[in-house]
Amino acid sequence: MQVVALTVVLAVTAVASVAVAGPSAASPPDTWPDSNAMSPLNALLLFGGGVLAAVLVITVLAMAPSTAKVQRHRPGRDWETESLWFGGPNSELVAQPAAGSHPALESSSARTGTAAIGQTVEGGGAGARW
Amino acid sequence: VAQVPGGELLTSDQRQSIDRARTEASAASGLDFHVYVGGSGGEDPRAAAHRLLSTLPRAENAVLVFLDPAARALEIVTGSTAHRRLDDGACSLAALSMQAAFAAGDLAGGLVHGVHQLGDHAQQPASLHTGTP
Repeated sequence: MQVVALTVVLAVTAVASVAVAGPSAASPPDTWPDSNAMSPLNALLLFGGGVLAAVLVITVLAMAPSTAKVQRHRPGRDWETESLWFGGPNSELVAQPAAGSHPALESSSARTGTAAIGQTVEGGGAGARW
Repeated sequence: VAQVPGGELLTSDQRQSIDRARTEASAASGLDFHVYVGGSGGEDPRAAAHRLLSTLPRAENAVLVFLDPAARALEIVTGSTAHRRLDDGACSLAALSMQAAFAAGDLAGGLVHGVHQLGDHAQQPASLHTGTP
């Protein structure tokens, strides 16, 4: 019941405010410069064109990264590039003795030194296919 | 098909993180970690991985993660010294987790995590009290 009453009051207020409203009684002061009225076309360009331009700029900015995205490799497709090495035959050795390890323990592995290329060095490993 | 420069299929960020993982694993374990991404040149991937391992400096102390994306092949090969610290079971575990990432299309993530996993496993426990009499 209260809801209906509230709705009626709001509706009456809204209708009355529009129906009763008249032109503004006050006229602009005489000291104001008399500027030319803006034509509807100018107004449309000013208020609509700016918004459209902003929308356009934002859209382009949002879509640019995905169109410029680099081609990604999909597994199974040919690897059409030269191979990539991380480390590799020409790298400087990267392994540092682990922190806190004892020098005497390291020397035993250091003494085995460099193996001649082609010598059997394989210890083991594992493989996987997918 | 036009040749694409090698870096374009892995972004430079991805390549940096792979290289960082390799360096960190090497520093933590004292082994030399190497990662190869590329073709096997018509060879069996396992044979190609072993051949590449033997071309590495200090090959007996090296761990090579060999990835041929076109053949969907992953091989982890260890040198004879490295094998003592990183047994085949640990390599299989790392290969399994990398395989899962590769199957989901994530080459770089699989490599980074796999190399970290290998490095963690080969990590030497800090020896206590060896410096004091």
